[in-house]
Amino acid sequence: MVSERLAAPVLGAVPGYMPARASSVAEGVDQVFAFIFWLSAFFLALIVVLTVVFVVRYRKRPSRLEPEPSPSHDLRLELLWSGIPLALVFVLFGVSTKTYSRMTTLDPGAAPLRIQVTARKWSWWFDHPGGKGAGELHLVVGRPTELVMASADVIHSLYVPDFRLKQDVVPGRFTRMTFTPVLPGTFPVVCAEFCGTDHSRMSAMATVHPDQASFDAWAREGVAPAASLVDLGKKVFLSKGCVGCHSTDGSPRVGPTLKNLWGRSEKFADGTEALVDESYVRESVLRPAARITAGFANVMPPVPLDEREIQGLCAYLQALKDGP
Amino acid sequence: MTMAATAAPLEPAAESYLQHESGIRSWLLTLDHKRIGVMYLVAIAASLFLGGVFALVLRLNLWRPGGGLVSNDAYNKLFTLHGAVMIFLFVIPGIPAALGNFVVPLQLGAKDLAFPKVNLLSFWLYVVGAVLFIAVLVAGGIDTGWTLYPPYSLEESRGLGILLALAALFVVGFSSILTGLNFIASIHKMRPPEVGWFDLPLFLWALYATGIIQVIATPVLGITAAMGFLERLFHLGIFMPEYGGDPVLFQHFFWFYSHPAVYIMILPAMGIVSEVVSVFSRKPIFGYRFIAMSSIAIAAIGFFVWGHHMFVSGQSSWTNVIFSFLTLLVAIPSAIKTFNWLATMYKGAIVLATPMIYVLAFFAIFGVGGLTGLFLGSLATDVPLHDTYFVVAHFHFVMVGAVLTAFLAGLHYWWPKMTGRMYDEALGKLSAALVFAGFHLTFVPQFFAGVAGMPRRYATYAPAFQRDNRLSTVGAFVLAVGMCIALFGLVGSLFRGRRAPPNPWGAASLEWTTPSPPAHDNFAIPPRANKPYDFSGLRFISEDSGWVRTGREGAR
Amino acid sequence: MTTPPLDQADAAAAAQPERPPFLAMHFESLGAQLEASKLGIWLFLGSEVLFFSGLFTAYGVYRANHRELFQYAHHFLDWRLGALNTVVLIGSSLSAAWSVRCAQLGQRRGLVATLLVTLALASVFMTVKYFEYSHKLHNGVGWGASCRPSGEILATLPAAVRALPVPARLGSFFSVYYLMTGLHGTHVLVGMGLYGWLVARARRGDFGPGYFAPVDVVALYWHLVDVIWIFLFPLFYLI
Repeated sequence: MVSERLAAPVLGAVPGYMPARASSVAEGVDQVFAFIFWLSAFFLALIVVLTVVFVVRYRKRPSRLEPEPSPSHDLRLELLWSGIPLALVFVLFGVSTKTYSRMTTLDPGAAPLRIQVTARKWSWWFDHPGGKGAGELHLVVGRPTELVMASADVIHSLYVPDFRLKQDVVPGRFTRMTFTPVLPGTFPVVCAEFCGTDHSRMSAMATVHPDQASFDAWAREGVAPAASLVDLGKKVFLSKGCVGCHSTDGSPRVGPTLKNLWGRSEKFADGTEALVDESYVRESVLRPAARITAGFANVMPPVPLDEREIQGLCAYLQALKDGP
Repeated sequence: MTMAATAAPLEPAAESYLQHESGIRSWLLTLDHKRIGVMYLVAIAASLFLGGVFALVLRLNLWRPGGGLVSNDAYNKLFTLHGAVMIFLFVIPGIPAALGNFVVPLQLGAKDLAFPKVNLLSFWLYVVGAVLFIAVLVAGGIDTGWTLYPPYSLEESRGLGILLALAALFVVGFSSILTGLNFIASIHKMRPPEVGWFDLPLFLWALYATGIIQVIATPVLGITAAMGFLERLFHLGIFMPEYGGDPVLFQHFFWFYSHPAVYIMILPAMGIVSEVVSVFSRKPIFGYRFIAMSSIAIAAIGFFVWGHHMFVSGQSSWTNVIFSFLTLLVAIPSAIKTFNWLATMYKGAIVLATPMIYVLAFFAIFGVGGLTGLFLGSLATDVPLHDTYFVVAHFHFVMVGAVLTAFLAGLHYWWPKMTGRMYDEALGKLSAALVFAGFHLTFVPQFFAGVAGMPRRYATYAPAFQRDNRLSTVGAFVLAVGMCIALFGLVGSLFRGRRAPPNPWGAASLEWTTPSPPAHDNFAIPPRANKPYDFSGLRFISEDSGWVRTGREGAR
Repeated sequence: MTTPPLDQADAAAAAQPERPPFLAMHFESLGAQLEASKLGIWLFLGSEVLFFSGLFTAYGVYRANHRELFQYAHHFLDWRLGALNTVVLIGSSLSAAWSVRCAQLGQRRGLVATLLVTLALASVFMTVKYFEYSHKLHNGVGWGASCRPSGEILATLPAAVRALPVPARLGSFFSVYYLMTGLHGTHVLVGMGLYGWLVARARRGDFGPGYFAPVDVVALYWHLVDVIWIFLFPLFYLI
């Protein structure tokens, strides 16, 4: 039993216990894990065997009352046992970091599925493209996915053991997670950052659809148009006074137009530039004076929106973009 | 033989530090480092007991997947206080403040630490901090985890408890700074004239490195606690996003202290291991300079690895890569130390007394603890393992297993010096075996649960993890029994123990040249020189007389 | 047998009849005691620097994140008062250094005088600080969410600044301001207490060429308090 368990992290999933390798990076992660596991096993065995052998051989007993003469230092040995770990550290660092860089970049391929995640005590909410919001996450096999995550209250952490991925969800900023599911099925999504009473019950299911058609069928089912994020964004745009200064048809007014703003590189009065993304939109709404678009005046008052309203605004901005 | 035995107890006229003065005031207001060390020891043992009881309740609640012994909220409060009490009141001050206070001046050949009043102040700050932690409990507890991450920890609903806890951190932090400062100044300025840096026992090198961390890292904890306190009271907008603050900044500040704090815990433990392994192998320590310098290296590198606690916090990938590399570098000084200890045993005459058995346990436990750190320093594997039971198991191996076994090794090793009594070897060995077995039974299953995806700080869990959790709970009780036997053996020796000779182990450092227990002013005649790992010339006389230096003029 | 035999030097040390009154039992000489005290205070000052560095880091992070806010808010601070306080503190450091010299030379009256001057300058600093704080607080310039500047104080801003909308998070700047200057002010108050204690001891004639460690150590502390202000002044008042 123990050997099977020991082997589990190395050789593969034991049914029902070890998580599946359900994302494109899971296998790479497990390879790094196996590398470190065997490396550690070797050194631990070395330490334990040497300890036991020395204790047995050199134990003080009537025939051995005094130690044998032996040197009290040896530079070659010291260099040996600092040099070998140093070399191994470099190898390990290289292997691990290479895999990590894959874990943090979006796989190339089809247009990514972008899903807005909102965490709150003690539940998850996933806004899928097309307006379907749900307490469960729906994905498509082989389709690169990007989760854009915000928290409504405290820090949470989205953890999918079967994907080998985890990312904190921090109030006051957006964090991202990118991956490509490779196995159809359902996998638990849990919270890994302590968040209070029902932290241990803050879980949801991730359903990976075998194809796009199956996902689309689910995404269409029972969507009330009013529930979509784009509509929420539009409502915010119209009701919070934005419409007074920003157009949606490309004409500049007191402020820049919102048409084709999303994803653009915006130039500021102080000469810097930034990509218009969730973080920028959030800053522009909450602290408009932080960066002033070149050619416009610093006149916009801060607009206190909540996280979901900002996400709605982002979705609306994406909808105001021409083309793909 | 019998003649020598009568000659052995030297300076019989000197009254010990225990008899020097009497009455409660003579203890509570003492400036004697030995008495302060003993008071610390009592206080720390009480904290260990309290933290241990919390741990057992936690483990009992995890017997069933649905919990149910206590409510989720109560569970959350218990693990918070378990962590806070164990870390701030037991592991961090444990070896330096209790054993270090007693041993440092004796090993140095000094009459006291450089600043005895500061030392007493440090003890009383510790007591005030401990009382504040108890007050947290009385005020209804806090359920934030010992890491106190905002915004959760600073929400309005937290009440008085969080304020008390932050105040406690602030006060305990200053206690730790003052201890470290005192050790550094003493090691620099109180050495006998002919004792150079490389004539110091390695325990002192370890405490010197620890002192650097205490002095440099702890104030950041202090200011972080102060900022948190004011944030909660006045909504400064420093950490709370609601008021324009940045919660991740808190994490940086917190770990800038709390990661080096891990080295505050483990470096003194390594120092004890260096002493014990040499004395009980009856051989000079192997690679003295490399062990000494690796302590300093660990302290230095330790300041630049805090970011590995935040690999999934949303900090930039490049930051993660740099912190990952620096973190992995800690493996090298750790490896150097480990192999030098093993080389010290090579061709020795190994005496399997209780301190040595605890040190052998340390080798295995520190091996596991250190090597599993590689999984968490490496980015690809940390992402899934972060904040799971794998992390819980890893840091318990390092902070509990390794530190506790070294602490118990040191406590048994210096017990005759502190109390003048020999502890019971049979009970000592039994306790070591139970602690070793119970510890592994408790924490090895947690590695498996973590790899399988069980997050930490869970009051309830998926049924798949039940077997791991039950093994762990059984192990926790075995560990507790082992600890009770150790306590029973040590305390019992105060009443039934054989009188200890000045040097029961045949050790060569200066504390063993004083009577057991030492006199109030340690050394009637200040020593001039010492070679702490030169065992030649030490001869065993008898159980009652211990070891004495014969032949050539020792310690020159 | 475990202790080396008495040689001449040990015998001489043991036979020394009178110990100086302020020599602790665990030191062999006042010189050794002074060296230990100086190392101790340097370590403590290192600790203090790290203590403040947490706040300087917070300042840096907030400045980077809210640059427009910091540029706006520093107009609320009067650089002339800041400069006055800088001069006052530098003067007090001079008198503190002078007091060490007086103690070393055994000039008792000079010592008392320089200590009193240091104390007086510290009081001037705190008085100025009091007026700065109370002026702001009376005009609603508090910390965090409680920062709602009155029209009166807004009217004192330069015209170009007045034209801008009041930033939403103005209080964040003043949180950092009150925290850093408040902690510094607390250190000044502690220093004043220490100087009061030194004055009492100096008048009693405790210090002289043989024993001046407390004067030396407190002066080192005072220089650090001064240096921290020298960083605070430009960070808040000038940029």
